[in-house]
Amino acid sequence: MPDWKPEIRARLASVRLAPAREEEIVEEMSQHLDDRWRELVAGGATPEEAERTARGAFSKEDVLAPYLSALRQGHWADPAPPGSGRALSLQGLGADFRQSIRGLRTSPSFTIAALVVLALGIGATTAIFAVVDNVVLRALPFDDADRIVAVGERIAMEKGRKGPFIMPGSAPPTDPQALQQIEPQNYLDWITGQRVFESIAAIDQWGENTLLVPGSAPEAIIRHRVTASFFDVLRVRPAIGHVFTADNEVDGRDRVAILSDAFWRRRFGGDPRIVGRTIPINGEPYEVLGVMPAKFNYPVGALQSAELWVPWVPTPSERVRSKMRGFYLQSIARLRPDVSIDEARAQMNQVAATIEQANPQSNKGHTIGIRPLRDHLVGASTKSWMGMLLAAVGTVLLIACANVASLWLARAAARDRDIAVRAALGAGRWRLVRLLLVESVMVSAIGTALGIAVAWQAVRVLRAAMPESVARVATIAIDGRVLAVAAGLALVTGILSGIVPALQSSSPRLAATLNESSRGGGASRARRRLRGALVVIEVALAVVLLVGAALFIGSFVRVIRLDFGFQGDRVLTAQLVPQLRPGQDSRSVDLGPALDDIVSRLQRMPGVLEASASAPGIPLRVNMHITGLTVPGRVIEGDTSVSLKSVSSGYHRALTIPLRRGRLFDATDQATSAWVIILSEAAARVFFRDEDPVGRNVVVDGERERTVVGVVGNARQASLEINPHPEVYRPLTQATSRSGYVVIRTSGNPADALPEVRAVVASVLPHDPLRYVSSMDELIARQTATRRLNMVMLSLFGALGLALSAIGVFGVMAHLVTVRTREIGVRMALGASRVQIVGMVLRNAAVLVLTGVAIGGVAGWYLTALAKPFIFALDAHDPRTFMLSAAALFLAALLASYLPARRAASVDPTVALRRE
Amino acid sequence: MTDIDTRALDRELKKGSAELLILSLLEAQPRHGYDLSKLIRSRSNGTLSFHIDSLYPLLYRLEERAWIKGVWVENAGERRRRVYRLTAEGRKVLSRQRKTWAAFVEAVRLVTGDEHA
Repeated sequence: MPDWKPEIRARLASVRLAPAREEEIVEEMSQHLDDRWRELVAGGATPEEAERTARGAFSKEDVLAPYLSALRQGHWADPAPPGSGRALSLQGLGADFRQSIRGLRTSPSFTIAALVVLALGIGATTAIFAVVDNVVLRALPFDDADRIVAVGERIAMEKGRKGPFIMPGSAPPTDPQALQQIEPQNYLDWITGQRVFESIAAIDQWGENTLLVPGSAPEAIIRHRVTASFFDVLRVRPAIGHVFTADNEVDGRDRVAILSDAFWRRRFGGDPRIVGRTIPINGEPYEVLGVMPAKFNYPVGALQSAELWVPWVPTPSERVRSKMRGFYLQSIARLRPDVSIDEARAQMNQVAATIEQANPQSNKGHTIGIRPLRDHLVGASTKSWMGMLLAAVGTVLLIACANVASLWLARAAARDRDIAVRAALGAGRWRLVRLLLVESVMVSAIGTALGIAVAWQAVRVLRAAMPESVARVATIAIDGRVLAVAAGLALVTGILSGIVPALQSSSPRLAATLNESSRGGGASRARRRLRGALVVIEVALAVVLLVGAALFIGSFVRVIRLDFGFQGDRVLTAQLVPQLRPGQDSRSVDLGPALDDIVSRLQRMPGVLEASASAPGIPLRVNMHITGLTVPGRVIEGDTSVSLKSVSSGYHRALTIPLRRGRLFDATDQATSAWVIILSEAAARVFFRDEDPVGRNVVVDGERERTVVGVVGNARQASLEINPHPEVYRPLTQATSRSGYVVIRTSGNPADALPEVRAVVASVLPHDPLRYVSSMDELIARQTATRRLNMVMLSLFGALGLALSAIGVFGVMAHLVTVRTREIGVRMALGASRVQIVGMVLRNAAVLVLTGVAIGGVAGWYLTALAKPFIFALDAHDPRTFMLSAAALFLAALLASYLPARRAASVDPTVALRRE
Repeated sequence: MTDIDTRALDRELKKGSAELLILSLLEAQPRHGYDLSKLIRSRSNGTLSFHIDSLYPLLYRLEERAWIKGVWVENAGERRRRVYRLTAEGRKVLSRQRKTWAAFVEAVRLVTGDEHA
């Protein structure tokens, strides 16, 4: 008997029957044919005839499939066909993932390009976010940290009156909310008058302190004097031992200390028996009461945090108001649970008003400022700086997203048919969008993983490059919080870069796509327009970044090229502050002879070109002596304050401060010889206009008259970026000095000279450590660190933006050339020259790029206002900067389009026309 | 209606009559597909016959409408066969269709008979 089943199955092939049902039908119909065949054979037909006749039972037009398709059973639904599923169901998500991985592996060049772009964009963003989060956003690591505030003086500025802490020649405070330091008398009145704080504490961070353990070298230590309430405000307790209490805030019982964990480990090897022992600080024995936990440091995350805390006890003279004023305290406080920060401000200002009423002379215009401790530690300028960095890196990320979106669009073109087939098989639009989004989110998730590796490295570099003045630098790291944000970025970039291509690809234009001979149709035209728009966006954003980068580079170069008035290379500096013996009056101390001795010994050291000393300070250090200068017989209008330094004879040579007139100091300038003085050019201009001051007499700091022997160039003082204040120099031998710096110019690396310098100093001042040891170059680097960092980062961001948008232009142009190969072939066949073809492609690119440049230029014009506080000696709207940035981008884009243009020009018309 | 699609009418007639044939044959007893096709051919003296590829889809359609019900029946020593029987619903449909058919035939007779009267 013949086997009918193959024929029946073939006739059923196009019908969507459930497999079991199909078998039933095959069986039933083949039985029918068996019966027929058997009957025919029984009737006398040969088997061959019988088979032929039986097969004739099928009609000529093969109607089985259409008839069955009209039935319900002809529409069996596969449990998981490619396009089934209800609108928003998550069914088949796993299949989508597998599908995506397959798809990505088949197009490695796309995948690698997208991953690199995303890794860079997300890596940079994650790194910057890690910095911003740790420095600005994160809560302080204290219990109920948002109740902790900083309290400080606010003194209304009257005309012509200088703020208590703005030294001439130093940078003005950039934070208008900054709190000023507090006079002890005011602090004492505040604590008796206040009812808004649960606890309030005073901190004195100043002072040079020495740990002098017999048998080891003297050591400079960072000691904070605090009230016992300091530990209550922060709600911290020692890991071992206990804190001091208000009982210790009495003269005589205040020789107690709490150590920081780091100091305890470094200096005492983590010995727990340290509690109860005494250590000699500043020549006096202090009993160690406890050691703080390892995670506690104050100021939070500072590179130079306190190493030990001792009680602050106001001296008898600080308890009453007198003419001697010292603003040196800081204060922190914890708000009472029922008091808001605004209520606290209002009540504390009533306290201030009461104090002002009682002391109209000293406290006129004094109010009390309160701000969250975090804001106080971080500062408004750091906050806006961080905001600017975040905005810049966010721009990079946007460019990366646009770039990846463009890549997806290019890839989507190749997948149109795949998508259309899925849609034809009944996949809903959501399913298609989901599949495409799963792909793009997956790519950006992998990109993020790579980006985190990039960020890991970047954070290490950034942490080292951050200026020391930025709060919480030490805590910058990538942790769970940062990783969570990175994961969020992955999702956002995935959706951002995937949604437009996904919507565009999934839009129902099935028939068109399936029929379309793969190009030139509506879908790809719309896609090309979209990619063009993305390139415009990329170029616009890149222009903004480049303008920012150019402004920061310009600022940095201008600062570096400034004539500081001195040369810092191969100069070693260190401070000496001799420790007072208990009860010794600071006014009775004169460091001058010791400094003289040290300088003459250093001068004999091999490798030392010039040794010198200066009191009280040197350039780029805050120690200054501002005083008045008068010229007998002359009335000077305006500001007559000068910065006064007492210097040894080699000082100007050591710092290469040039002599303009007269002479420098020399060995003949002794205490007993004629009193002399050297003016800076700025001082000479203020006091003598165009006359030659050499030989004239002046009175400085209320001394007897000195004769001007020389005029030297201006040297910048506390800040490199501020024009130098008038400065005058007197011989170290003709003054008394409480503290001073040694300044040594060496022939080699200044750090190499340090051990010998220490030995020399120890031989003269055995009980006093060198403090603030630093080369002049380091001081310059520290002052320019913010600008350097801004320049480096914005340059990096700008370069990234430039490269990404150039890649974007390249991609679009390359695609355009591919799509228009036929058209180009026709043009060439009709006589267009290669130059004309290259021109055509470049014109296309130029239109996109110029549009982007125009938009970016306008956006940059407004956005550079953000960067204004960080720009030095440059107009934020500097037209040259804008022109340069635009030109750079334009050139890069043209270069990027040149390759596709050349390829277009090399199209062989015969080949191009034969295609298709 | 301005125009009658005669081919559609023809199709409907055929379909309607084919359904009627099947339902009528199943009224007396359950039968399998080959049985049905043989009976139609023999009782119409060869005038009416079904191609296999239109018979079975028709059976399946009637089954989907629940007018007939097919079940696999296994008799000892024989292959299992799918046997169709009329359902209660099918019985109602059959009597309705018979009336319609009779009315139709009568109408046709009246129209065509007039010519000869």
